[in-house]
Amino acid sequence: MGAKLGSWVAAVVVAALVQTPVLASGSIKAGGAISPRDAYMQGKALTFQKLVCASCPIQKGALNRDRALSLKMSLEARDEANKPGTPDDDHIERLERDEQEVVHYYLTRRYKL
Amino acid sequence: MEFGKRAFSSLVLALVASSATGVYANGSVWLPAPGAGSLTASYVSQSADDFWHIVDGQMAHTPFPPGLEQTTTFLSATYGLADAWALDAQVGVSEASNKANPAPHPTLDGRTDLGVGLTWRFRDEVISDGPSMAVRFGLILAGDYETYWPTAIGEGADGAELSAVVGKIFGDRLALSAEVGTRHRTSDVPQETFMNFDAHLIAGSHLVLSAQYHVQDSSGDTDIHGPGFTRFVLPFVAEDVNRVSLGGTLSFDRFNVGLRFFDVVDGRNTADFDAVSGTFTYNFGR
Repeated sequence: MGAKLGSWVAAVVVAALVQTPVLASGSIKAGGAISPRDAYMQGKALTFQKLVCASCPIQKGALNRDRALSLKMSLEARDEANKPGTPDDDHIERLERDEQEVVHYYLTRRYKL
Repeated sequence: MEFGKRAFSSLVLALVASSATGVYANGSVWLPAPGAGSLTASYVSQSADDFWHIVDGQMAHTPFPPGLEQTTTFLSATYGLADAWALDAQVGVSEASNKANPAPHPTLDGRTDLGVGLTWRFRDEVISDGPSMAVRFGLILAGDYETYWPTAIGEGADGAELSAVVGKIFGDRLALSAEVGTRHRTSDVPQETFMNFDAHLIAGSHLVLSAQYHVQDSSGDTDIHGPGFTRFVLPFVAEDVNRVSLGGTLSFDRFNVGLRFFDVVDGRNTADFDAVSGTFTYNFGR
């Protein structure tokens, strides 16, 4: 035991004398995960799957703030008697009930509506 | 207009609860929503008993009898400026010491380097075919700590980094990304090239499992125990690191917790660290 401790101390002393260095050189960073299922990403995905695509009622490039506002108003009036009266009243029918709300969320966030 | 406000809120909450946003100090193509972001506190504990250095003219992996241990508490944040733009920042406090007692080197602590970054996603997998692609530009402001010791918590130099990131989510279940970048710092700290290869498995509505392979390659030619070596060139040695990590993130409403394990598998002029990190994230603005 004494010999083992002695050799361990000797190793430490030798290490100190020769300045055996190894870099701590900065902490490892914690890393991260992703959020593919958050409401914004889901709403964006649905918007470009069902409303804005080559086979959709709205073509790519045609979605701007005014069009997003029109879609938002149609979504909000879907169950109302009085609708905006735009073609988007029909276009939003492509969305399931449980999909329209994340699309609404995406449009509101994306275009600051 | 009371359009489904209650239903809308509950759905968003449900989706938020199923998300797993985490801290990303490095580049990512999956950015926070505009006006949303996260605050993360993380704790990293790492230790090493071996290191890579020059022995008889060759890079060798040998024991480091004094050992090294370092603990760091980071505070980091992300914020979505717009659909394709996001900010990130990270700073912390750290302490490094020898494991042996008496310790041959001083125990050092201080504020870590501050990193801030701006990411621009110029291609979005949701809108166009193919993967998402982004570039990240970051600034590094040297922390407040002593250098020139093996127990220094960093190189003590300002700098900048630029990286390109590509990533894609497959079937709403698996996400893969890769980042390659370069890091330049003031004084004589060598230029570094780094790569991160990440895989995320959405294992459940509340759980994301993650793996990463990290490579850092330094352009320098100064080696520990090579020609002309003294401890005063420690910040300037060529440090290469190959590291794997595995972990997971659990999400609870607006909060996420993560656990991750790291292992350095190969290197040059670096310690053979094992590490574990715990993270606690608060997601705001969504």
